[in-house]
Amino acid sequence: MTHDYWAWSMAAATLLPAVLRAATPILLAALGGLISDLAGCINVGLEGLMLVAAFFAVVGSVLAAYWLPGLPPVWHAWLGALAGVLAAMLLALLLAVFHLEWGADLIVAGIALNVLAAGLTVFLLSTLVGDKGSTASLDTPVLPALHLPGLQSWPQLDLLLNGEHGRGHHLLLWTALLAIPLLRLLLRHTRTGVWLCASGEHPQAAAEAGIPVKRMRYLALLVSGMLAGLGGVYLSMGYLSLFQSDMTAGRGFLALAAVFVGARGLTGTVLASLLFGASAVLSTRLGAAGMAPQLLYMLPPVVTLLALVAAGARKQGRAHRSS
Amino acid sequence: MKQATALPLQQRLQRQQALAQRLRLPVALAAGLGCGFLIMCAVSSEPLRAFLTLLTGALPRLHWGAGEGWQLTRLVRFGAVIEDAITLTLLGLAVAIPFRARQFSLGADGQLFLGALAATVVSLYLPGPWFVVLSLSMLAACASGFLWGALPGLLKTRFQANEIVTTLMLNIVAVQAYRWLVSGWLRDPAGGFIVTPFLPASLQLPVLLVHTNVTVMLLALPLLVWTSWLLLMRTTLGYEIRVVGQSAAFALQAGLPVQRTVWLSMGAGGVLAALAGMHISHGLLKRLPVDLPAGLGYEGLLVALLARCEPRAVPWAALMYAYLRTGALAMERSTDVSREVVLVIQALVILFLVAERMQPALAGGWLRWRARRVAGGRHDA
Amino acid sequence: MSTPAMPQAGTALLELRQVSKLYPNGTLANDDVSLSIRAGEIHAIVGENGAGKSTVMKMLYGLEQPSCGSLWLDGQARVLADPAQAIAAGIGLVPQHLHLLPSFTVTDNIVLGAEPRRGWRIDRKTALRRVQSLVQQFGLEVEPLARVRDLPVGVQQRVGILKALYRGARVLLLDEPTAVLSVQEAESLFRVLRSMVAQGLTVVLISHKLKEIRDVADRFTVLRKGRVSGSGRVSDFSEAELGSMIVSKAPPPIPARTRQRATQPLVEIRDLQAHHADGRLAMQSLSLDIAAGEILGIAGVEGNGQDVLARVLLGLQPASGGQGRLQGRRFTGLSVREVRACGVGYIPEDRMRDGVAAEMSIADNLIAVSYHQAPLARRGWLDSAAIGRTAATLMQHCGVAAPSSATLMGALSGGNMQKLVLGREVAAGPRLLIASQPTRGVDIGAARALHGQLLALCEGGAAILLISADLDELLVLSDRVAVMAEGALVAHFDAAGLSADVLGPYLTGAQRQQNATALLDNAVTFSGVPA
Repeated sequence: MTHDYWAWSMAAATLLPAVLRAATPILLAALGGLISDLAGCINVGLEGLMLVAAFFAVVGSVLAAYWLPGLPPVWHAWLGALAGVLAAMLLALLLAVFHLEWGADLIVAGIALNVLAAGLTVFLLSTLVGDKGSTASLDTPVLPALHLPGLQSWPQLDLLLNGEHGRGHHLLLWTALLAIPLLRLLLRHTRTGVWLCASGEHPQAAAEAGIPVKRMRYLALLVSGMLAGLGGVYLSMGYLSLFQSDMTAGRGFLALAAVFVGARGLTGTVLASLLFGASAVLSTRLGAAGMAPQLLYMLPPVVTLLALVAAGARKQGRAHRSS
Repeated sequence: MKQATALPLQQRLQRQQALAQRLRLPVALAAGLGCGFLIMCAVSSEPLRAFLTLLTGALPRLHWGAGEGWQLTRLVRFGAVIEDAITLTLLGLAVAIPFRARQFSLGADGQLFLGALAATVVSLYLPGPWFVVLSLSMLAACASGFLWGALPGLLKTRFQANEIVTTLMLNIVAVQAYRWLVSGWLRDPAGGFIVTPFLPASLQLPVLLVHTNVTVMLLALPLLVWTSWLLLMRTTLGYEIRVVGQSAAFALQAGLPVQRTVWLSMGAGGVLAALAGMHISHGLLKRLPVDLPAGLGYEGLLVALLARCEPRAVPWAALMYAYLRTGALAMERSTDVSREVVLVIQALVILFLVAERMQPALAGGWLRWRARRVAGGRHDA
Repeated sequence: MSTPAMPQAGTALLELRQVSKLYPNGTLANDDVSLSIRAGEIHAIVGENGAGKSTVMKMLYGLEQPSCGSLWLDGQARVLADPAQAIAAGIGLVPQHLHLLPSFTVTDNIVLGAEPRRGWRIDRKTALRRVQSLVQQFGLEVEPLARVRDLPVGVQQRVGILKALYRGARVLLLDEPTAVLSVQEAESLFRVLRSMVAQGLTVVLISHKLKEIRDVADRFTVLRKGRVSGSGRVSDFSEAELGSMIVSKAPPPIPARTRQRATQPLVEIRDLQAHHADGRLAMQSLSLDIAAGEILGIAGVEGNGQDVLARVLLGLQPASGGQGRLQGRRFTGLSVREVRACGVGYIPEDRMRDGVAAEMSIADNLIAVSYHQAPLARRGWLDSAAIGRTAATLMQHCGVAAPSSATLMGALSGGNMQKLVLGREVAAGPRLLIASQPTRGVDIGAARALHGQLLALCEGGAAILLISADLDELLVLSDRVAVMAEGALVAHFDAAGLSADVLGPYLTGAQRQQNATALLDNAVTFSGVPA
């Protein structure tokens, strides 16, 4: 009995870090998507923002190493990460200006942003590195992992909190987890958060109360750029240690789906992101078991579709039951 | 307010708006190309030559040789422009129709793959005279495209599933299904790499321009464009699409079948994307490789947005896009600028195009700046 | 919250000097308007629909900027670039259609934009305390922790006023405050306003109701067609003189009609019930009849279920119980198109959202209900020549002038749009027309034309369900009047001799007729005796 429990709990503890690793970029981008959606500006350009951040993080760290060789190497990684996040925020600012100042349709502009990001990253990749596929030829740093000491006496907990290799979870994974309560605090208990929600729920009421609605929307889009940027940085400086063209592989859209499946609420979005991360892990495990690769790649999209359908059916069911 | 004098004012406003509309595309093009040129200046050692190659690289060259007289070369390259334009027109129409109903269906890619697959399967395995098999292949392509387009539409009407996400997910499913079938069941054992057998020669579309793949599809194209326009402007379904796209609440209370319109518009788009797929399988490639690049559907999206979802403008937008893309290929071959810059340019053009208030805002700002200069620092009431 | 000290009563506090406002679409909303509001008074800005009152109020609150002219506050020229600056200057606005956040509580709504903080956190305890003290000071009863979406409209207005007071308003702008109130609620509001003025505030009231202005205002300014046509102390002018300042000539009276005494119902609705999306009851067990050629008026404060009734009858919202029959045929539970095919027409309450597609042409708007039938379309194919002819005929019939039927619908005025909406519905030959707030936001001339059309439709044998918050309109046009409050029918009267005062207590739900139904034979005459 105890042996089974042990085996079961160890298996669960091994699985969860893998799910968290897969879910981190989606979660970060989804939190960004949630904020901008709550303020009334749905951001469909999350994919492009992540891609741009992933690219500029790698390039930034390489350039930092080139221009400031005196600094310890870990600083290059930090500077690169900063460059990546700033690049994503800059692109989000572009989207914000085109929509808020010049009246561009938000969804069309978001789609154009994704195309812009895809083209720009491959273009600069081939110009700077000479290779259109990836930066594998370069030696690019990663951001550090955070190891929690003193957990040797609780092996399941140690496995859970420090990963399979005991080196600790990536910094950005902890950031993503920390972002959840921070966001909850922001949205419920700070003026800025309340003003953001008001700007999305009833912009006219917010304007009449003296809330600067346009400024709130700028802020929301910039924050979504920052969070999506962190997700992108994680991809190229944590999940992998290089940049590949199209490395986001649709995660930005999964993040968007997470916001919809989560009914635009914080808890729902987090759970949906974890679900999508789990489906990615499941497809990898099934691949190891010998399933055809093309069928495997179908798994995460099918899970996403089913999740969206289930969320819609639940909303209808609630309405029907009450009438 | 004052009805009698409002009429000429309204007319003047209408004319102003019409003029602004006509100028929008040229200004957006100029702005996008300008930004592209600036990017080239930043990364290239010969930006001017690169830019000019981009703009002229797709053109056939006319030159005089002492022995042969006038010669027109690089026709193959220009033929590639036309081939691409045909595909992109079909894909642009495939995106434009749902977009007119304000359904952001990005599923053209998946519908294209399935259309090519269905047409190829029928052509390879159905015996019979060529006109029967070819027609049935086309029918199979259209049916598969319609189903793959209507499916996300039904998911939206029944479960409010956002169509941007569902169409993108279905794209992945379609492409993977295609790859699975081509690597397995449909694979040509004699082929060097993973590919289907060649289509029988009688079923390949006849070619119009020698040495190119410009087929009779070129002749079918005006018909398809005109049919799309007729659908949108002269049929009840088209009216429903336009009204639902402009104001769904108004459509609902007037009794329009809003839900049916949503998935029908997406199905209609799917049919056109599937025809683009058949163009690729039966016109361009004559056999289907497993690594058929995904992403053409998104270029169709760009074309539709450039044409502002107006069917009659789509072929011109497609031609311009194909022209610039071929020019970019030439630019990549002969200079140090890689071809993806054209994607950046296109995206910027679209951003400038849909920025409704940009030109009035800029005009207003310019007028104010001019007024301030004329006033010379004097205070204004 | 530091606002400037209350000035001496009687000095000019807020002034507009020679202000004009020209909108980008060419509308001249205000033309050389000068008005002066003195401290400590209740000042009324009067005028009919479309006279420019809302624009003046928007400029006083920073929602719009004058095209020329200046705004003066406390004897200094000021520019109020946005509402935040107006609020900082001590000006508060209570708009006609309250803009409150439905999912937030009353307290959260009141403190929105100026939430008290302790460090970086919002201090909700302090907010509650301050709201409660305001409630006591001004006597505006509200439940501070209730969610706004659960509150009736009259209470929501109190929240709106508290919002302005919380921000330290010295000048309170109220836009048509009694439009959503019953007579008793209006009187209670005026008591509150007088007590506010006694405590040193200044109140600016926008209204078109002469009687109210004479009851509560000290001074007034009249706007007509964007210009000031008179001002002064209310007590110096008679009602007739005020009326003549508002309209240049007396409006044509609403045409009198012979009241019907019918026996057979054309429309029978029994026990109709509906729920909101979140499960709350929206409409309870309603029963009513309408005979051919009869107008049944539904009176009620907005938001008490009238809109739900209209939408359920049209098929936009499902009924959770009961049924409706038109000429014996059941029409509830069908799709909108099927309901319209049974002979039902509809004028929606929200013209811009539901009644028209502003970005489409007039022709496209006019064919929306009949485009799928001959002669406009055959087998799915539209006949553009027939469409053009139909549109032109309809425009001429409704008296709407526009460059062509290809003009955008949004370029027309509110009155013209509504004329076309009604024309479109009438052209389909309905047996039952559901008209919801048909003359809202429409100028007097167009409103009279609309009334004429409604009466003509009646004479042709159709039944009309007239839902209106304008009691004058309702009382003159209807044969019978039913009152809805909180989603239920609470009274049913014969319209002959009925006056607004009798309806007052029923509108708030304070008084109810037991098990009221609006059947043909149980209308109550004003004296209280069943007919």
